[in-house]
Amino acid sequence: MTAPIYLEAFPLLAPKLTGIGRFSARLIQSLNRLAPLRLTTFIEPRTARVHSLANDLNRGQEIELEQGILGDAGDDLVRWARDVCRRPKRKFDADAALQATGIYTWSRHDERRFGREIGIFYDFTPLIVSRTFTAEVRESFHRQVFASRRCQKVLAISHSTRADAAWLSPVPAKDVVVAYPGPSQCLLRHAHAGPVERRRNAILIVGTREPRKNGDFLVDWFLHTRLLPDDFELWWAGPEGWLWDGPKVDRNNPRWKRVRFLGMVSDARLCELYQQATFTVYPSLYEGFGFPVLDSLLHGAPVLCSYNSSLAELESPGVYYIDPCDAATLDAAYSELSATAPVAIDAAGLRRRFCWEKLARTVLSLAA
Amino acid sequence: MDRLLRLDAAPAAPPRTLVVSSFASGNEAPPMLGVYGYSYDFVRRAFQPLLERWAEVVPVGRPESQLDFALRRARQAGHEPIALSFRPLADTYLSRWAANVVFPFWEFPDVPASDYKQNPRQNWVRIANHASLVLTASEFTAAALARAGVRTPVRVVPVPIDDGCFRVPAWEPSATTVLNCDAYVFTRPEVPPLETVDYELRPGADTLAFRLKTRITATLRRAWIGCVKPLLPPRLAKALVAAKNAGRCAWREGETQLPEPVKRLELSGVVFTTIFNPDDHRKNWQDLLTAFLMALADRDDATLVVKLVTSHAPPVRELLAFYHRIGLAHRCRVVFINDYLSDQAMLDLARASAFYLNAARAEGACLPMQDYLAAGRPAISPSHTAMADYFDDRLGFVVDSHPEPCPWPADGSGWLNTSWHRIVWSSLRDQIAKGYAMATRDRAGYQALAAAARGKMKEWASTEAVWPRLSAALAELAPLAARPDRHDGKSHVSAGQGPREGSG
Repeated sequence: MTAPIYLEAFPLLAPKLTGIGRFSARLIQSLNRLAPLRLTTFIEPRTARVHSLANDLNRGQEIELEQGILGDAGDDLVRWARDVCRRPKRKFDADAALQATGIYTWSRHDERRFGREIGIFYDFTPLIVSRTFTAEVRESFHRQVFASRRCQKVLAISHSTRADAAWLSPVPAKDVVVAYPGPSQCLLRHAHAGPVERRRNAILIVGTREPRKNGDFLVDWFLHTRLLPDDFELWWAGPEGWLWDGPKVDRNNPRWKRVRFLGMVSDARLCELYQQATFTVYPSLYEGFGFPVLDSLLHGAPVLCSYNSSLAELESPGVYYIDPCDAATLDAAYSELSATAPVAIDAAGLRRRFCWEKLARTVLSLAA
Repeated sequence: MDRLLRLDAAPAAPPRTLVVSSFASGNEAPPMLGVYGYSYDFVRRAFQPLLERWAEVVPVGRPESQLDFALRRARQAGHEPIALSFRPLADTYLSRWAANVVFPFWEFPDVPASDYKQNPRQNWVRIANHASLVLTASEFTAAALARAGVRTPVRVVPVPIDDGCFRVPAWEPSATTVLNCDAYVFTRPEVPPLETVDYELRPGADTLAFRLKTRITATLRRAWIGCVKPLLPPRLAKALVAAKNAGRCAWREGETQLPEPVKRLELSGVVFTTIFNPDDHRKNWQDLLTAFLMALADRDDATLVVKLVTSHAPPVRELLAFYHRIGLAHRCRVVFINDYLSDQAMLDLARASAFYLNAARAEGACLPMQDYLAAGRPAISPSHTAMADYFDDRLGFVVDSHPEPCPWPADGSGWLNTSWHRIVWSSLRDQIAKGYAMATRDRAGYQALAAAARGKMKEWASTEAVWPRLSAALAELAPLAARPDRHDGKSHVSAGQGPREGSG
């Protein structure tokens, strides 16, 4: 019988399931196919309140998940995560945990909770593009990186993150192992079931509206480039974030009316948007992986994407790289895309390379 | 050098590209004076001609976002790219796609070797150890890095001095130089007696209305701090405070009557020039100002020119307020220049000057002093930290100093982690007086110092002196730079215009 693995699962409790929340949900889903799990959290009640976390799972509780008990998330990952966290709880068994392996999906204290501890490095953006985070987040991140020295092994979700860990974390390079995640949605089928026609005038950006996503640069390019026909629209799907009140651009520009902020959208709606978009733009200043790039490609939409951080590892047919601070390179990438369309995207190759099952097996190997 | 020549002779060597990171993205705009990292942009500009001699240069201002793209583009063009960072190590970005050369300045004998305040970016030693090569402008910094445990090769490459500095004519006591810039010029032959200001005795201070006003103001202030401000979004709170402060008088009542700045500054006689950022606590401008005024108070042919390197008003106000507060009478002139001076104007200022004056507690290079020495202007300065590389009593008047404990720069904790140098004030005053005496009475002695200063800097940091050091150091990397993908971030190397406003 396989020993259960503990997971610190508080990202599932977040009100909006973006980046790390989606990653944690997919990790739990794919790990559960291979091993029994125990979900728990060490988040302080006060912190949980500050971050408006759901109270479905609280400190001192654990949820037992027999191997293979979790079903497919289907087209609503948020509901799936809520359902998982509403399963029956029992008291967290600290002694049993000290005999088992535990995975911290996000934060951890300096204190040891498990016999073998595995951390996850998603990215080092609060250290590398620190101006795009609040001081509170930066300080919290510093503490987390510092505490990561307690982990026996750390999973990095890209080679870029592993390389950053080498010069920015106290964890020895030999203890940081890379495994790529799979797509964030539509793993088995499209979340949007109906037929969708791809438009020839829609640009999509997917991401939280915060400065690291580089919205000022993108909107400014959209308003001023001479290459785009006038009927093009820019759609931004993603929740409001922090430190960014919207683009500082000339709102009298006639194209401004064609910029649409769609807010947080459901998986099904996002799937539809990916299938409608002429192409996606991802001018991020730095990333740990880049779900929107992979998701977009797997929905048949090519991507104009920054060449930095982990995004460089997503190189494949359909990706056109840019310097996210140089609009001329975005013009050039758009021209190249226009000249080569339609692009033959290697979806099968991408699914082989970016695969949740592979990631889960890597985690299991670290847990052993 | 030999190695470089061998590389140059190799027929198949691909052309090279240096992707250069600093705080500015290009070469066109003057650096933003006084803002964080501004002096690194002066250094980048100083190195630019030599870097262009060695390779094609591509500047980037946001290396974490732009560097990899520039490296890729260079490689696609058949070039061999290297990343070169003119940034503090805490702000350096190390790419995994090329060799990383870092060029930090550091003026303390101890280098942060832990995640100071739990911030991994403050661990200078770890970051330096993941670079491929460390270049630094002084032997002092190189020794400090080695002591702290940096294993990456460290090569000392002084910041090249613009050739124009070496062409500045010798100081001419009878000459008058005119600078067209805003300047505050002060003489103060007499200081009125100090008046006691007792706020309790001011008219109306004992009235009920005054007491009520005071009480209400204090209550409102407590309510703002304790109840209102914490509930507001931080940006709104900051904006409200800024709006309130905008209405404040820049000068405290009765403290300073600022004259209108002169638009045309005439400089003659024995001019002592100093250049610094008043926000930089190392510069020790309080000692500098008082020592000058005490040494040459009654010399009306002596002038201290303080060229301020900042875009911020508060530190300038603080400096000028200090000058007014100390109440020293003087016939000598004190000139504060807070205007941006072009490269040519800076050369003109050097031409007008007889000495460079420096009272800093620690220096990573002191580029303005190097420029003035190259211009044949002896210095009055301590000879500690990086200045010990090039300054001694053959080039000017050495001010005594002793080590004393101090915190890391910009550290609010007050922990005394390292040390800097306490200037011996009386030595500073005496050396200023000796300098003046030599300039006015011992022409031959002055000329000997001036010639030695120029000669030393030619040998230490002229373009042609720096080139062999720079090219030899970079050539160590060239064979390794072609290796494209380094996921481990390890080192590649297994094994060396006018006077600048940057204070280095």
